[in-house]
Amino acid sequence: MNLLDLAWRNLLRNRRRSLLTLGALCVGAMAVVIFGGYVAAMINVLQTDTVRDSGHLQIMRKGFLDFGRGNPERFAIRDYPALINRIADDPELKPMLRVATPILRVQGVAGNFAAGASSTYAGTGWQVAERDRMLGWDGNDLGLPPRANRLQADQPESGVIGLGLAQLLSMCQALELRDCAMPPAAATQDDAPAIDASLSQLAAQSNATTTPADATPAIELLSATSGGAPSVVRMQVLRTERQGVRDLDMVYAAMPIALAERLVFGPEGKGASAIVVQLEHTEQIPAARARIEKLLADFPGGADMEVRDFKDVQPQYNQVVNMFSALFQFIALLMGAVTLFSVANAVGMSVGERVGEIGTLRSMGFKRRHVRRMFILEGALIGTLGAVIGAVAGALLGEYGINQAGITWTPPGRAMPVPVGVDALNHPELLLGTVLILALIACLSSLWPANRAAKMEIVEALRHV
Amino acid sequence: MNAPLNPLRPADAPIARVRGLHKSYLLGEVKVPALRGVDVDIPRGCFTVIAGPSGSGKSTLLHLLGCIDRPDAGRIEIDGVSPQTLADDQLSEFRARRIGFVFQSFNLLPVLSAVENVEYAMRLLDPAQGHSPAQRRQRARELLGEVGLGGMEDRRPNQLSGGQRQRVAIARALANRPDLVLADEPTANLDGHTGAEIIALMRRIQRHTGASFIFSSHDAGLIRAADVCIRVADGQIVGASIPEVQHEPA
Repeated sequence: MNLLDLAWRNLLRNRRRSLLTLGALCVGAMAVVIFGGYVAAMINVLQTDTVRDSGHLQIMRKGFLDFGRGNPERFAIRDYPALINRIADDPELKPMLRVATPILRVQGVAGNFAAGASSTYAGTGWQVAERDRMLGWDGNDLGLPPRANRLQADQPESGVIGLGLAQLLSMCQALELRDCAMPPAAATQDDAPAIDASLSQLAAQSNATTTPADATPAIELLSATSGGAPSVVRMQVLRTERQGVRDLDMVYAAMPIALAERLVFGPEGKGASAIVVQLEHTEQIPAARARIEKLLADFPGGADMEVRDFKDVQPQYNQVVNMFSALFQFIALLMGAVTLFSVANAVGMSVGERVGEIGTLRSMGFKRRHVRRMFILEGALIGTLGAVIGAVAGALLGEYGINQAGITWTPPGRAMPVPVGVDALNHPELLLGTVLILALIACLSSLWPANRAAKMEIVEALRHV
Repeated sequence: MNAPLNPLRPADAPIARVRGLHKSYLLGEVKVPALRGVDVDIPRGCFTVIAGPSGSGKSTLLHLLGCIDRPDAGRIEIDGVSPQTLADDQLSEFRARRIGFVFQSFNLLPVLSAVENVEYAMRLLDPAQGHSPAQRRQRARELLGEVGLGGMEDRRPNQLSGGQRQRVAIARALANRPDLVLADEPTANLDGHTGAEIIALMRRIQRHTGASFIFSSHDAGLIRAADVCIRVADGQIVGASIPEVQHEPA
């Protein structure tokens, strides 16, 4: 018989109240674990999506993220094949490396001159086969199917554009798009020239230098070469790809890198905006980054380059993670408050009912701290028990209930739905943290009634018998 | 201050020495004096009753002797120790080691069995001075046997009659071999027959252990059984005597 045993028996004394308190704590712990597991799963999905799109690391000229779009010549990596070979052949990087591929950012005006429509675009040139490989990354073992690569290696003159851009370029009918909106009739001015004559003239040049148009719908992409001269290529549009963000959807274009290089550097030019490095696992980023920085130090022009991770390249990743983290903290705070008041109420009532008993124990030689400890132990016991049961129940419900239900949703900024999952079992820190924090809150919330009990005068307490 | 009363064996050192004791309580906003300058020596090794009508101050005196309350003024010595000089924790240790309590309403812990109630009192002693868990359990069983509850050790208080509960309370009070056992109207919640049995039991245990027993009571049977009867009225000692009818020797 010790204080813990006594505390346990006292909890069993008023079973109804203890069960109600336990229930409240279980629900609180379950909510924290399920939502925490959901956030963890969500972050995993988001990370997978981001890494598939941007790789883990990107090697680029210093300042490219801020100024590169406006000056492709200044920020281009011209000898990227040599750098990629060095990375791919490095014995330290090799076990970590999945893909090392160049990308080229390009922007300008896209025109469907047959329909008299044009709009700005921001595109990226890819090596199609490497892009395929990148879109299949599943380093977090989520079992997500690979994202489809709309680019095709056997069609070097063909690319993909956003649905919004297709609408702006009046390509709905040509591409046989179902969800494509036509421009309002009032917006069309029949008497005005549909497009600037100089742009049409430029577009006409592209027909002479590129493959003649076939049945596949095509657009003209206009840009400036690295030398500042206007440049235009004709790109066949394989299909559209809806982007989650409207502004992006209205400018999105993806194309084979050779086409982008021709647009930016001229027919014989080569260059990349960045080298995208995708690793086997996200945890390898620090080691891979350190190694690449070492390789860059020995690479001609490497001193002017930097290595940025996917969180730098796509800052919205951190924004979404922070948003979910804030939501989780809010839920945890609410559940902490539920625990606080439930336990404080239960222990407070217990103190009120046992005033005479406190007097008896004190007269027998119980010290004030023994009384305090006894009631805190009762709070800690019910808090720990409730948190453990709730955490385990939450993890099991998530794993065998929610994860099996096949529910999906489309996160902000995404075009494709993702499964609603709860990943609690793989996050022992979430389970342990929930139990420890709720147990600690239970202890703290017992402190006030326990102190009240400890401060009672013996004679006053005995009068309550 | 009156001359201290010490009716029995005046040459022996008393178990409790009280001088100029004052104690008042606040009843709402009114200060009610419970003890008004009490001087008394309580003889060692005796069966002493503090008798008096309700509200006379006998329970207050008992609480002060039991070190569970502090006087407003005056001095108490329990076996040479002045409780006023002890800090709260020291006082708790002093009570655990030197004083046993028996209450009118038994005050057993309802979540513990009879043997655990007795044993729990022993746990409060410093481990260096106390018993091992096995020794504690053995002594608790022996004590329950002595008070006539052999075979009922594992019953919870709600499975025992009033008399049986008071026997457990007596065994608990004796668990740490105290020098002083205090009982606040121990027969008040019992029927006459059971009360008489409890008085006889305590009388027998007192003689057997040699401990000093002090009761507050107005039970005539208990007063007759006492070695010493200290009469209290209006917060003052009004007399001390050896009762006319002495209990039969054990």
